[in-house]
Amino acid sequence: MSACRRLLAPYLLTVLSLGPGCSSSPSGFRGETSVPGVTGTPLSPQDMNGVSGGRDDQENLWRAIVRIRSVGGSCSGILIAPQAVLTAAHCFCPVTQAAFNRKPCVKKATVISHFYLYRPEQRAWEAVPETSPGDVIVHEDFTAQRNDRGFVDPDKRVADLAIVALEHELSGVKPDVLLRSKEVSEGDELTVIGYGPSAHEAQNGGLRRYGTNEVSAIRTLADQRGREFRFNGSGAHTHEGDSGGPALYIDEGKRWLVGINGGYAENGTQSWFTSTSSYYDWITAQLEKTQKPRAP
Amino acid sequence: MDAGRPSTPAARETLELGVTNTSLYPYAGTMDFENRYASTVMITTGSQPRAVRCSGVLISPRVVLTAGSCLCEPRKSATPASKEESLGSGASCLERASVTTVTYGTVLDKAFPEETTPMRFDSYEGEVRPHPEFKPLSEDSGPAKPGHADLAVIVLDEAVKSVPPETLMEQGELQVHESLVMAGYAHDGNSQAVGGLYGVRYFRKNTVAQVLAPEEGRVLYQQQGPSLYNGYAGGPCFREEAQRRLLVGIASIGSDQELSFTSVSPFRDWLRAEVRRAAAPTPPAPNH
Repeated sequence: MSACRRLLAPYLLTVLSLGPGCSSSPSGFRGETSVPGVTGTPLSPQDMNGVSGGRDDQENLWRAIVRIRSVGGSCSGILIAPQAVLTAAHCFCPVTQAAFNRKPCVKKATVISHFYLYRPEQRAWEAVPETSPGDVIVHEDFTAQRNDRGFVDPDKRVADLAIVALEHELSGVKPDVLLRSKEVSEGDELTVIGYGPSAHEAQNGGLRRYGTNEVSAIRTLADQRGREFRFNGSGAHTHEGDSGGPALYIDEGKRWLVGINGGYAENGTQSWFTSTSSYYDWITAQLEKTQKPRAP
Repeated sequence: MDAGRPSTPAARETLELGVTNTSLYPYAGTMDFENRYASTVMITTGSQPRAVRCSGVLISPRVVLTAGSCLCEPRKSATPASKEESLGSGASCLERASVTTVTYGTVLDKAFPEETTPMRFDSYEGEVRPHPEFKPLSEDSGPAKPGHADLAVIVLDEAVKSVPPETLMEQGELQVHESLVMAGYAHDGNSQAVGGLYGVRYFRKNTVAQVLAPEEGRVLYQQQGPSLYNGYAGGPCFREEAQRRLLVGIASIGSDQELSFTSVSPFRDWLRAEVRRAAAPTPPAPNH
């Protein structure tokens, strides 16, 4: 469907044969390269609307799911206390082929919540942001590393969680999820929300989208404590910009937080989540630390 | 050790982190959060309301000018004919398109304007009218390429109230090395938002490299900085003077090897006729 995508080098192998013509990209961006591509037919729609398989959050059902911007890039996250956002650690720390080093992890981030104001009769709408700066607290056990092909090594990644402690509350946004200590099961239907685009490599990110999918696999991480679960096959999937966004288990209207998006595989047809139930104690301990005690 | 099914080897080998790389945003241009180029609009089609197909520029309350190559492609024998109209030149064009104006409010965090600026969107629909002489440079199976008279207007069903249109004015000849300002949301004409963010309008200065054939209006230009986000497909090119700016051209798509725009000067009569037609008291019935 499109050309000149910026892909990580390994994808070159699969895309090279598709066609001629694309400009060269600037040098000096690690992992960035421009590849020959195809423009395809501009008249046939392919992209789906939503976190792929999902939809835009026009009704503001998921306001507690926020966008997180730092010099490390752009991610998603979820407000779990009035001044605490849970997200993925890899949003703030460089993950390279070298052994993991937490020193370069960024310490500050800006958290943005969007309220969407729709006026359907005018086919008009507004995206109204609300922001707070915050301090980044990366899980002390977080580690991750890329393999020699540039992909993330699933066996060298643990505790991919971070908290952003907000300077002030986001006006009009309340945390509305419960932390679940019980692990998800295969076949559980979960809701995923994030600010990524509607398809792998699509270029329409920046809007909050949501969709559902079923847990297809669960496994224990290399630290023997943490777990992660995955979605395969059809249903909503997550893409660039969705990292750090939540997977929620909805039960009789209650929203249970069960996972934080850790990445995707197979060109965006698999989504990987860190199980928050397996890090339940760490999250609750951080909440106690970050939430200022209320005056009597 | 695994609690569930072991992951497939292929998936384990392709795990990626889903962080948006924001270090490239500066190469998209400068975000137009001061609404200087609010007359530059997003063009989408009904099937993909959030995927920006091209940019365009409002030249009257009911007329948006864009590139013909944004809305047409060379006719292929197997092309489904349901939603397309025929051109004698061998192109298939969409009949209808959507136009969205974007206006920005106050930036909350100057370090991250793309993400922290309030955005207001107003959407309109209209009829696609390619220039009658528009001829895409056809390849057997390739996409549309900028060809002769690479212009099209979208005649909107109702007048745009959210932003004022550009005024068409006489302009002098384009000079090689002349610096022009271009604005837009989409690049390469392939539903790719510049920088990857819906609704973020960028602008940048580019330089005229070569005027190919003055009567055909095709002009090559060079992009400032690395060619990472190629030409703002369908977007306007302005000559900026002290007290005013002149619309001098419309960026073409399919220009990944050769960036070009179409000078509006040779097509001024057609443009004026389209603006007059749109302003006529009985507008054409919307074609649903």
